[in-house]
Amino acid sequence: MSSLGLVWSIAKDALAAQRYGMDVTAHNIANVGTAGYSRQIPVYETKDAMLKNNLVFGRGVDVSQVIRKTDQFIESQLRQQQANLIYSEEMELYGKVLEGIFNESSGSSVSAMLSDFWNMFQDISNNPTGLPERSAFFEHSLLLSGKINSLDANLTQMKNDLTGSMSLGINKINEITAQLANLNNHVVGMETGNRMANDFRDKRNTLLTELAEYIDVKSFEQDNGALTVVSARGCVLVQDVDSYALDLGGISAGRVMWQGSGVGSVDMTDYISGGKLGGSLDMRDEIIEKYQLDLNAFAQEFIWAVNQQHSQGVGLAAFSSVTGDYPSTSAVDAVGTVNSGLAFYDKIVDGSFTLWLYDVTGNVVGGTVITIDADVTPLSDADALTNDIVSQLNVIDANLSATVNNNRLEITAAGGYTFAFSDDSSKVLAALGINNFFVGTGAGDMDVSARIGSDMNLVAAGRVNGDGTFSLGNNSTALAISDLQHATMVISRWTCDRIGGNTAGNVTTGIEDYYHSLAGSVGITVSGISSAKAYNELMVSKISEIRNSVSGVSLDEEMANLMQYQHAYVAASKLISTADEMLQTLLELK
Amino acid sequence: MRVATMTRYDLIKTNLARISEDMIKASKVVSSGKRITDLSDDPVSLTQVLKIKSSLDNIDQLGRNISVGNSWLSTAEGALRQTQNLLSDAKVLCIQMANDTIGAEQRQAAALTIQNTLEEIISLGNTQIGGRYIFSGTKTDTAAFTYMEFKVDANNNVIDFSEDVLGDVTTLAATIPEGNYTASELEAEIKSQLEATSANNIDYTVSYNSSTMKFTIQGASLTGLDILWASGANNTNSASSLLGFDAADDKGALTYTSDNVTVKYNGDNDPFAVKIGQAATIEVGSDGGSIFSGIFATLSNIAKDLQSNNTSGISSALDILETNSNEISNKISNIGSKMVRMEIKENILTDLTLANTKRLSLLEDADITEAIIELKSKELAYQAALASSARVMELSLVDYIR
Repeated sequence: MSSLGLVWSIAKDALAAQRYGMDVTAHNIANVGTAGYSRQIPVYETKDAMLKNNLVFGRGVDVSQVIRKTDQFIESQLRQQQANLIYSEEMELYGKVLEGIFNESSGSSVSAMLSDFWNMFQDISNNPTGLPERSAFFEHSLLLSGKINSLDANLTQMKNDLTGSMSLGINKINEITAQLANLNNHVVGMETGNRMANDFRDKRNTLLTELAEYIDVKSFEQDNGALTVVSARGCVLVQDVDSYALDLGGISAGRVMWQGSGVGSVDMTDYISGGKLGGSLDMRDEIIEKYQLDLNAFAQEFIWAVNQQHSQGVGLAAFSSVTGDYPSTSAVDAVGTVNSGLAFYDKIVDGSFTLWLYDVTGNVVGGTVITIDADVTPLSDADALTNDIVSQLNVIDANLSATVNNNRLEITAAGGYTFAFSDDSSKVLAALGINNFFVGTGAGDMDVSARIGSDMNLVAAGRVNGDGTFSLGNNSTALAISDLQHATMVISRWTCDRIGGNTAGNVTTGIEDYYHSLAGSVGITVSGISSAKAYNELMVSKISEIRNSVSGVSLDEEMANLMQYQHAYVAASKLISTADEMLQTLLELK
Repeated sequence: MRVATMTRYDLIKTNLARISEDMIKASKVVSSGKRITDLSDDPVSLTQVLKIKSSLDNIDQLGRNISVGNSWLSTAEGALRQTQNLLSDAKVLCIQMANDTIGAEQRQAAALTIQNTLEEIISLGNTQIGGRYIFSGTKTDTAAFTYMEFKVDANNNVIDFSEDVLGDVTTLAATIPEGNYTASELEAEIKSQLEATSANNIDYTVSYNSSTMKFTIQGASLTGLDILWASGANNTNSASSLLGFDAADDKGALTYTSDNVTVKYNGDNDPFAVKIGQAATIEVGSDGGSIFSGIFATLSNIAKDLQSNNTSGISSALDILETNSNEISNKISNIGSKMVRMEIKENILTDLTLANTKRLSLLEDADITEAIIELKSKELAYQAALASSARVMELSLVDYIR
């Protein structure tokens, strides 16, 4: 017997199905601008047919599930590229700052000041007795040292800032991993039946992308739908409903430590290669580290080269007393060995220097040669037969005495006597800081000796003659120091690798050339970073386009779908009204 | 390919950002006039730019050094030319005075003229630039020549001496009247004062040797003569420094000669040099001793000969004057050739400056025309992007659904 019940049933299901369709369309339209949203599609299936009177009747439509349109491969590609982009952006941000620190376009850049340094010493060589030239030179050297100090300080500050930004990043990572674990819980719970937890999955994907922006991660889904997230060095961040936090600590309080599950922490710093953290670490531990080490090497060689010439010269007056600027923590060990504690111990070679003594009226009393055997001669050793420096000095004259005071060599002349130095083939005077111009051992502590500051006459422009006399108009040392501008020397150049460690190679070059190529190197590095970032931007844009072509919402499409569902709904309701009319007709039969 | 709505807007955003970044870069180039402002703009050129800037500074400095050197050399040349003139005047005078028709008084007057010439040449030898003596070698703070000007005043006018005649010792003090003296005048005055003060009527001989520039005091008919420069009653104003004697007693003989020459060369033999190139220096100062000492000796001798009316001495001095004058000429031409060398160097430096400045501009400066065209094209691109974006964003199916 026919029944109108089937039509009603089908119409009723049809209405519901079209309404579901509209719900899904509404959801899509509402989320057109949501980042990471994948459009959802209702899947219509015909209901199983029934057999009646040997006839097969279809029973209408059913929405079996709502699925998301996504391509897992494209999603992970996009995530990868976005992580790369954030990595490049972080590098470029700090790269620009680094570039600004080494900026060379103003007149107060290190190159310009370095060039002026040599020129001002030439001015002194043109007028060795002139005070204005000496004052100007002294002030300029203070400025140059100050500039190099501040370069070094700026680099250190940048490293600290990067560590601070990493700390913030790690807090965010821990937040995200906790949320991911939570979402895992929801997804697993919701998918116990044959259902897809679409929105939770979308949310999880978005969080994963956000996580990838901070640190490089690999993720894979378990059978139950839970996501496992693993990071550098195989450290697990999220597994099932558990998340494992990261921390900033370690030896220098700047290392990224993985807390683990009670085993102890693992230092994963050197293996993080992507995302914001990767960018910060590459910047901090490879790029800035390298330039700071190179700057230090440059300053060290500069200080040494100038001091070596200056300590063999004489100024406008001889010394009545002088104290060395560099301490030797162990005066009984040979000056040329590391145990002596001298900063420049490795520059000392076998040789000698001459000390000239002058009486009250300035006449030459005599010149004494002090011999140095780099591996044997200590600074001061009263007991040994090693012919130490202090003993050699003390036997010269009753009016001359030498001692070690506060780890530094101190030579004093009594009775109005004075002394000067010349011909130091052993370089020990520069290493002890006697008659030197600069103090300090590197970019951070470079400065002009206070001794020069208090008496400009001690800027050594001249040299003692072979007979011990010295003329005020002699400019040999000034000429020798200004010749250093073009002299070649061996300077270290560093390569910094987070995993492989820092290694120093040697280059033989002029001091100005070294600094110029340092600045050029910064420029090349930053320009490389900018190019990489531009490339990454392009990649992200392209793959986003592809991803959106699969999963993105197109309003035009949704509008068309809306109209389709509307018409279908209207048609289904027409079914009901028609069936109703038919029933009425039937009921009115008497 | 299916285009999602988001894609449209994302692309618009990205492209607009990119074009406006390019536009900003182009306007930076135009407004600063420089192609390279940041290190990363062109790092390889930057390294070269830095090197060129350093070279330019260096060349400027060398130019300054050269002008310092030039002023030394031209001052030295001027002083030497004047010396030469004085020498030729002296020669003319000598030729005149060698003539037998000239009387002794005229020769005396000529002697004074020669003395003046000597003093003039000494002050030329002490020429300074900016407070530094150019003929003192590297001892630029000390005058090259100090002349014992024989100015007698209350601080150097007493000679304490003791005469020993056969064991009978008398201590005496001779005072020289204050005033300015020539060498021969001083000789005579000291002699007369010693003889006037003498207790035993001793004859003294006082002579000034102009080649050695030293005084000699000699007593005759004495057993012993002591000159008490240090231990005398008047040792604080003794004439020891005046006559070139050290402040120590001269005892045990009858003849004493000054310990020091009376025209002293106080400099050294190390000429002052300036830097004119990388590891290249040029001597611009001089060792005055080697230039002038011969002349002083010659002129002192001539003055002496004129005073003592020694015509043969005067004639033979003419040849020596000729030699001295030739030596000065050599020195002048030597200075001249150095100045030529400096001028050549200066020209080279000017050319280098020009070449380097050109290269620097090539590397660093922006070609303004090119930069402005670039800016214009980026502006146009930006405008086009904005217009098309506005168009595209307006279109939507929603507008067409009834």
